[in-house]
Amino acid sequence: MTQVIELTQVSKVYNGGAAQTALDGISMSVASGEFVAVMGPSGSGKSTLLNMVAGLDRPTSGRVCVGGRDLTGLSEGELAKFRRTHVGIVFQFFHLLNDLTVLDNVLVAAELAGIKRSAARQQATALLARLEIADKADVYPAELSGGQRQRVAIARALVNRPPLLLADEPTGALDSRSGDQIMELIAAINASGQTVVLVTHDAKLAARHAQRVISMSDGRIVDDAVLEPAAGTRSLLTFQREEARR
Amino acid sequence: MTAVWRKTLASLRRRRLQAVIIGLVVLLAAGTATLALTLLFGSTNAYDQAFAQQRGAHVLQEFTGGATTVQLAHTARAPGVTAAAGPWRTDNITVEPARVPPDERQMVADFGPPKLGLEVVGRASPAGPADDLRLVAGHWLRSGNQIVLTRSFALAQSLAVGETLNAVVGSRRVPLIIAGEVIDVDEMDAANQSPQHAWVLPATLPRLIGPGDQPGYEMAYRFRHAATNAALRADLVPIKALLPAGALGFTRSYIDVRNNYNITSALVLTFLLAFSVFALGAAALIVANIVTGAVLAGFRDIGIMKAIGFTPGQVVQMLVLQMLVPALIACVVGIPLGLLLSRPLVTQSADALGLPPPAALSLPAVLLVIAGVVTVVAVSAALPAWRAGRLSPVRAIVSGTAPQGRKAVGLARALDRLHLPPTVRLGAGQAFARPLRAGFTAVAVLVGVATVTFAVGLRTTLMHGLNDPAFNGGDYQIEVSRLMQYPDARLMHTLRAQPQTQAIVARDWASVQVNGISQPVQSVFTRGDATKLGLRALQGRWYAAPGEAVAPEAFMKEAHLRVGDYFTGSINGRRLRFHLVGMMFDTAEFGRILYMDFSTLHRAMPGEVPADYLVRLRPRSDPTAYAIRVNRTSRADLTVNIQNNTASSVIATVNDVVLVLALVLAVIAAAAVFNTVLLNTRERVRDTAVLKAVGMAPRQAILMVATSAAILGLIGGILGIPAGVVLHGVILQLMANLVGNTISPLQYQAFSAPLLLGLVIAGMLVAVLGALLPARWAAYTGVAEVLHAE
Amino acid sequence: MSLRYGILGLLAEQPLHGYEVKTRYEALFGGTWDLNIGQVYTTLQRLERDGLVGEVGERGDRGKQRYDLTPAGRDALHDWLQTPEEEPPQLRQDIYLKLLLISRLANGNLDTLLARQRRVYLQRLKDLGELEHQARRQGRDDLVLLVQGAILHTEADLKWIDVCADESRRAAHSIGGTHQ
Repeated sequence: MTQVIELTQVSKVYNGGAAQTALDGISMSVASGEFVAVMGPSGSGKSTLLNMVAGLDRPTSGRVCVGGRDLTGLSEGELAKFRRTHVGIVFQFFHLLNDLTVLDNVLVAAELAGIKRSAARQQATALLARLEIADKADVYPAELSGGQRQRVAIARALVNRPPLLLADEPTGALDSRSGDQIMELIAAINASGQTVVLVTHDAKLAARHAQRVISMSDGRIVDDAVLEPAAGTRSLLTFQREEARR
Repeated sequence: MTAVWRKTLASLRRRRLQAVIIGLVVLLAAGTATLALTLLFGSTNAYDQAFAQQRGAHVLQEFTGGATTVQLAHTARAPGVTAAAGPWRTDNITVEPARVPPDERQMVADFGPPKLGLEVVGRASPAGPADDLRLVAGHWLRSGNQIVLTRSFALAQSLAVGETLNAVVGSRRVPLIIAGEVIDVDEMDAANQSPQHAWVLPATLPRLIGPGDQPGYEMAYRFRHAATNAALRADLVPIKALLPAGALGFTRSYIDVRNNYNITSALVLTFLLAFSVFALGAAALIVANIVTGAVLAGFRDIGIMKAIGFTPGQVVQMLVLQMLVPALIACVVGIPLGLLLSRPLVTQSADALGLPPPAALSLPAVLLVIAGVVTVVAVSAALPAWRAGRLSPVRAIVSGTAPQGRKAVGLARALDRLHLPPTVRLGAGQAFARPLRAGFTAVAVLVGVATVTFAVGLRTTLMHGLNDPAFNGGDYQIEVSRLMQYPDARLMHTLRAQPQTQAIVARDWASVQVNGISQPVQSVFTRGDATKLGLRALQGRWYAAPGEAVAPEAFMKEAHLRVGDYFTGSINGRRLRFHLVGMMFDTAEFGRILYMDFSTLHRAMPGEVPADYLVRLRPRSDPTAYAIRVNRTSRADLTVNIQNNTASSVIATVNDVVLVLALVLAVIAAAAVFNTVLLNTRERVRDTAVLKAVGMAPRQAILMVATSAAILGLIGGILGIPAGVVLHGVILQLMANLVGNTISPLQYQAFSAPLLLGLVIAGMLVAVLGALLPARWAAYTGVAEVLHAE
Repeated sequence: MSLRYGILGLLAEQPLHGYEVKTRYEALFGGTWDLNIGQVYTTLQRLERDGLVGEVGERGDRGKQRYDLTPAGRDALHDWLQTPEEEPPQLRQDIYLKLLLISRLANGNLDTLLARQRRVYLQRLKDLGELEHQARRQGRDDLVLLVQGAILHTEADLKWIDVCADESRRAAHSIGGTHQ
């Protein structure tokens, strides 16, 4: 099985006076089609890890391979090109370009990857439809709700069919209802074969859809748990039997 | 590339104000530059074009009667001569127009008909190997009673083809009908060259020679090496060798004619070019400012763009394009505007040469301007944009806002000590929060204030100059010309007898051969105290004894003389020693002239008597009554003219152009302030909202913003005024040099303390004006919508 | 305890016989609660004994006997509804014991224990999350509340595991030795 992410002894140290170790010799891999959640409190290093994987930041030492591409020693320009086609990122605060309409936001990403105008338009429109936001194609982000904006962000992240979808607290700025909808969408996308890595501090969010939960603390991975599919009712019945025993 | 364009156009659609500012500034700069360059290419070209078409003579050489026509014809074969026309017989005559316009009937009754001087040339054909005459009205000479005039002379004297001029020959009048008007490319216009040439058939000329006239000859030469006056002087050497001594008279070089033709344009051009450079420079500053601001404001966007895959190069492209698109659109409006404004000046120049107006579009000028604008905008946008491209997207997205510059702590403390109200203190701090931007703005204001200062100073100086006799040729109200037969003593008696006469200075001209200068120097000799007319030396002193001379700088440069030097030369063959005692201001002959006392001329030409008399009247005298009285004593032999001081059209043009340009740059400076304040306000919108939440009133917010603008305006103003004063001095000197003179800064008091203070205050006011709109926005944006986190 | 008052609550709406009580009670909990019919009858009898419910209708087949609330029963129900629950705090004594013993006896892998416990909680969160989703889909917002309560408790438990892990790491560092 091809590894979509392969980190080998990755460390990141910031020297701001007293050297701060954000990542301490992390090694991990994510296989194609997995839904992995990276969980931890603030300061655990999960955001730094995300930045490494996304090519938004460089490790101090160690090797980062994403989508078969080794990121070591790539220039800013090469990293930018990498980000176009190998990784789709969804942020907590959406980070859409407010000057552009919904459709244009998605088109820009496609055009960056060199897709021709008509093909890009087709793909973009199809994605927006799939995310049920096609009717807002000519609207500006400022006029959309948080949930709608996040859908646009997801469309933008996926338009170039990257091997990896990265989601950084995608529901952090949303109300619980919209948040649930977004997570359902991401889960459905994963179900159709997309590799997803979710970074969050929310345990419930992490456990809900991911098959694997990586827990981080102080720049290290403290646990890598594979979960079984949800059982639902069974769980509560077990609960009850325990109660009865008391 | 499409992705970059998509983002660029979207950004432009949203940031319209910024695009408008750039567009306005570039429009003004491009328009000014187009105007300057069109003039540069158009007018210089026009003369050269006409010169080539008319086979202009590099030198029009006058000869005295000492040489024979055979000898003169022989000079056509001198080495270096590529073409020669002539020899033509010439004579200086006086003519009277036969027709009297109805409104002048009274004047003619009082004074007699006007007497006009002409240098008449006997010539068979208007075309030839050199110095073709271009016919612009009527036809060439067909019979012996006809005369052809230069067009500028005909215009100046309101003469038309078909009218009659009566040549004054002794006591007779010989009528000549004006057959046509020509343009001679080797002749300056009537205002600058007197007497003008006029042409008659060779057979007619002898009939016009009066008693006491000294007819001569004239030839037109074209040379192989004719680029500079020095080359021309060298070319004349072999010709001189072929002729008897003293045969050469006055030499008119085409270079002087060309310079004279170009002088108005040259002056105006100097300003236009300088101001275009300023305007483009200011535009560059503003663009750099705006881009820096755009980068800071768009930090978040830039981070997102990089996150989704824009390379640093693409980020730079986008930022540069954001500036280039409005700039190029501005060119589309500004360049045609510049071309349009150049029309009157260019057409006027062409018209003076009888040329058809040049094409409306000067392609080299337009292309140069476009290239200049693109380069300036692209470079000033690319530098801050490049910095932006290198930012790490992580930091950009995380921080959301750009890092604030380290506040100038020292300044803050100094301000605190002043016990200013808090809003003022905040405003002052804001002004310097981003030192680079503050610097840019201050410089833009500096440029604006400097040019306004310069314009105001120039206006004052030019007006002052017009009224100062030392600069305008002397303060006299009456000029009397005497024909040979009317005795000098009698005229002097008449003039002295008038109670209104305050001073009389008689004037004569002669050629002086100065050692070390091959070309004779035209000289003015005054009898009587010329200083009574207000003439004075700017350096040294006025002449008081025979042999003493005063001259403008051009002469001094050519003769390599300084005030106080002695030099030798000859007048009419008589060798004399001269003493240069002072430097004066005179634009005649481009400063290549000498002023001396009449006693000096008397030594060389004892029989010579002046024929021109300049009279200064007592205050509150009526010049017209005086003139009538004097003229009545002898209508036939005297010409009495009333001097009216009309401002030179050159000065008027220069004044207007400079004022317009100063306004242009003032607008640009205001735009710069506006832009800076806008950027500052937008960036600090959160801080301002917090202040308002805590209780700052809208009025105080406006005061805060206005203060920051006023401070920048103050700094720019304080620095700009000395710059403007210096500029004024430099340009004035440049102007003077163009006409062969020099001006010492102590000669004029253009700037007074109240004026300078007024300019400083004006600078601040303009800055504050530029800040009002953004200030209102800052004051009235809702607090809640700003503080509500995304 | 809740069975008693749950039955009282159901009977407050209308008189029911035993089997109806069972089915309705299970419905309240959306099928997550198995009720033994015998348990139902026993509780009904006790309630009758305590005078909180009474038989309605003619006495007949036990399966068809309807019960109803008595005035005393209504009062008791009312009082119970007004009284807040004061459950004793959940002290995870078992886990605590394990932690303590492991560190004391210096055998057994503390990290492994914590990891395993964490996994249990994560899995529970997954299951509960699915449950909540289903409840919402069925429109059972009341059930959603129940599940959310459990989720929050589990999250708290998870946090506690993290705290334990942090503490043990800090202790290991200060001692300067490896821990087994």
